[in-house]
Amino acid sequence: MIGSFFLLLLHTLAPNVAEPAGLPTPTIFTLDRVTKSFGQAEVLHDISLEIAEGERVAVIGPSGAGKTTLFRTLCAVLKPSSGQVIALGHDTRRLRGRTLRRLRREIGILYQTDNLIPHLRVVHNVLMGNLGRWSLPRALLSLIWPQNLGAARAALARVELQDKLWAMPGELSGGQQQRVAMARLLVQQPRVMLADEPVSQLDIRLGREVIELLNQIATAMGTTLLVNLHTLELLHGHFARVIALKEGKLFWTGTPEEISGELLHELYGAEYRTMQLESAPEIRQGNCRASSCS
Amino acid sequence: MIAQFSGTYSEKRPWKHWAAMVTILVLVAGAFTAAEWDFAVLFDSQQRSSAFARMLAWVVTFSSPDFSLPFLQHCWALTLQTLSAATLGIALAVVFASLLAIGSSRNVMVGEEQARGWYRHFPLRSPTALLCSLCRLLQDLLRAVPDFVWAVILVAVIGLGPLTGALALALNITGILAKVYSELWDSVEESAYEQVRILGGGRLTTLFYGIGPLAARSVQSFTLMRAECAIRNAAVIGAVGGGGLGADIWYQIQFGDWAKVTTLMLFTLALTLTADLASNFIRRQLRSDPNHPRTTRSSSTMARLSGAYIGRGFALAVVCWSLWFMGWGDNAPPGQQSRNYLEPAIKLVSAESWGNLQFFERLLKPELDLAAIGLGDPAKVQSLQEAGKTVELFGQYRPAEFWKPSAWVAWERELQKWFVWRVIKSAAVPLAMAIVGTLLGVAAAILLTYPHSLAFMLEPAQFTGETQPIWVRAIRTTQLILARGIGLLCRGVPDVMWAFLFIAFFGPGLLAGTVAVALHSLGVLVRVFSESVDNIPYRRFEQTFMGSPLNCFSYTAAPLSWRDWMTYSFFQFESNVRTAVVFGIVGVGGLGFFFTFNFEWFRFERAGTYLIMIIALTIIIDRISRILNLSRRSC
Repeated sequence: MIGSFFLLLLHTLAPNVAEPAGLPTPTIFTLDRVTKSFGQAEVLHDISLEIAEGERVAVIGPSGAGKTTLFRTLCAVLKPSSGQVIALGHDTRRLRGRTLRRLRREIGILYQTDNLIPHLRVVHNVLMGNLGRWSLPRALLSLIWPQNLGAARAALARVELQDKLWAMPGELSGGQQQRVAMARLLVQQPRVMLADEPVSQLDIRLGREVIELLNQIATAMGTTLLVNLHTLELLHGHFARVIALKEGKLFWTGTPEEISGELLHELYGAEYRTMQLESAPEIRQGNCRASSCS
Repeated sequence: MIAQFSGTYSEKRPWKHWAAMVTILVLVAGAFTAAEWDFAVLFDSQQRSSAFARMLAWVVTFSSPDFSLPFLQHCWALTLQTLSAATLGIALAVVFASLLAIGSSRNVMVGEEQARGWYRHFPLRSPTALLCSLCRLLQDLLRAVPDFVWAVILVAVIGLGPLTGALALALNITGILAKVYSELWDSVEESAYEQVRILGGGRLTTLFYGIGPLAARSVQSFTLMRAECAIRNAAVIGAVGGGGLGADIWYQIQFGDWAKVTTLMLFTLALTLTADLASNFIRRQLRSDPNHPRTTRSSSTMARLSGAYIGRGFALAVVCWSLWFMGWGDNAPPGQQSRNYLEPAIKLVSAESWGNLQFFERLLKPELDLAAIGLGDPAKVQSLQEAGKTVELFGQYRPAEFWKPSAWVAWERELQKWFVWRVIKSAAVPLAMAIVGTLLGVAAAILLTYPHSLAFMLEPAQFTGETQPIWVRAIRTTQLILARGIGLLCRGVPDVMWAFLFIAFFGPGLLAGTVAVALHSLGVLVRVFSESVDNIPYRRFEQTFMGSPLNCFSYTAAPLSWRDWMTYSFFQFESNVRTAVVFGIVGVGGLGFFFTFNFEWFRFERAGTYLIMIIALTIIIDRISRILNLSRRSC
């Protein structure tokens, strides 16, 4: 509560952040009293936030807390019902054509599943990172004769999948598919990466690999990174700031070290117990999560 | 396996799409060399102006329809007659096709088996496998004979009338639906319904609890598509004795009463367009993705469950109505006596009318002209040899001289003496028409799919997050309406009518037929293409959208629905080959022309040979498509 108040204060004191695109802005995202509702249901309620360039932020919270909705609002797919989202200097309520394209080129997204188009080979899926820059003829030509093949090879080499260049996504395991999606981010070279529960379909070891790889990429490219996480063990050492959402409201922000048992108990409520069970290694093998998405 | 041969990468660079492109190029080149194309109308200015004059005369003729009240009533009665014939045809076809498909589906009929490799395709491996291949043969026969030809044969048994049309449609559609149903059932992965088997279900239980529900969506979709097609065909099948609108159009054409023909055609168009819109509505109800913004959602369980019952009840009511209408309803145009058109069905079980079929017995003894290749009656062979009319294939060039182009010319010239070879060559015309026409149609349909899809025209804001000013929305809505209008018109006008129209422009020939095939394919395909795009969950688009809707379309929508597109295109190609044969009857030439020519001059033996060629064409294409499906599944 105090945190959000502080942020609000900070925001009101901050200079005008809506600077024209292209200039390096210290803030990547600014949310000002954002509320989002679908029909009757209010999913996000009065959220004010700022994410600075180069920050590593994790978003946690129980299922239905509005984490995914927050991410979709940040990447400008959803428009806030009230309030304002400034993404990379653009107000997301007034986006269209070239501006939209320029913005989407700078935001890389990683989802929990279905990142890849199963009917396209890995090479095309990786080169899709260029779609924001390519014209339609070039994009079509690339489907027949892959353009910029070297970039795809280099990106796949970074995620250690260089031998899968011509494979179909169906031949890869879940973790490998996630790595191909990261190779796509490498080709895209975005300024922000939003990862929406990137590891919830993977077991803890693969999940750790994915998070580490994401961090490496973010460091190498100097990218801002926002990750929506369910597995709290992965927080430590990777993220400087944690944002907790509960019932669509900003519940808490702080560093991973500040998270306490009571806080989690209050945040997750009944889910807390299952989470504790889940983190016990012998039970983790199963795929039966009480909460897989928000 | 492949990894052993490659250098740095465990997977070789794929070559299959290149192979596909080369194959298509070869087919097109073949189509242009094997048949005679006449482009003079397009390039010669004098011919072009006379073609436009012909076209103008055509338009003028059709610009003054007869809208007098009695004639409108007349047309209305005929429209109802056509509709009831089509409904009856589809209903019969769905029932019989389901039964036949149970027989011809490997997954249902043969079920679990250990057979691997070539043995899996060997029909004599078990009694059920044999039965399965027999059912496939039957369905191929039913499908391969076009409905027009079935109508010609049925007229001899039960006479003229809408029932003839209904049964002719039913026979042809039974074949088509049985093939599609069985293929859809066979394409369901065995692991997907393993559960039902493990729980102890027999083959029929597996069908109803596993395979059936898994394929239900595609089965429904395809049945709807065929139903529309049946209504279109019912409107023209009257030309060969099937009753309804078509019969009257033909009748009025012979009297040259173009005003009435125009009115009848307008009614035909109205009927097909209504069918089209009705099927659109049904498709919307059937939408499978629960998260799709356009899915019709109902709140209560009761309402959700009753939907299926209401739908089935409505379909049943329509079938009952059409039975009643054809039999006991007021089914004649005003001023004429209502008749029970169902009565001729009794003739189907009487021996007398089957006696009429003996007329066609000679059809079953096709002329193979064996004497020309030196077989059969020695005296005949002798006399032919003296006249120099036997095939001396290697008389001039040995087989070893195959590398000389002149050898092939000589061999071909020798083969020309054999009647069967001429029959085979006559298939080049419908094939060329179908290949070029389908390719043009598919390409145009893919281009038109983008403005035709609801997802990219009306609802892109759902996944792009863009804010559209009112003028952008207006432009996109206009594009959508234009694209839908083009699609509706192209498929609403029956393909035979398109052929008539373009024969007026290009003159009778391949070009007219090809353009007609292309336009009609475009209309049929663009709707199924964009339907499969609109069925993709918007989440997929949201995940790959990077600012350009066209890029998103080509990288997400197109690949995700590519397989559906190709399946539909191949079906369309197959039915285009049959359409092209029918075009032969109306003046384009080739196989269909020779069949009717010999048929009308009572040279039934020769007509029989041409009929076999028609059937063989369909079966060959079907087998090729099955092999392609196999290779597609394995890669």
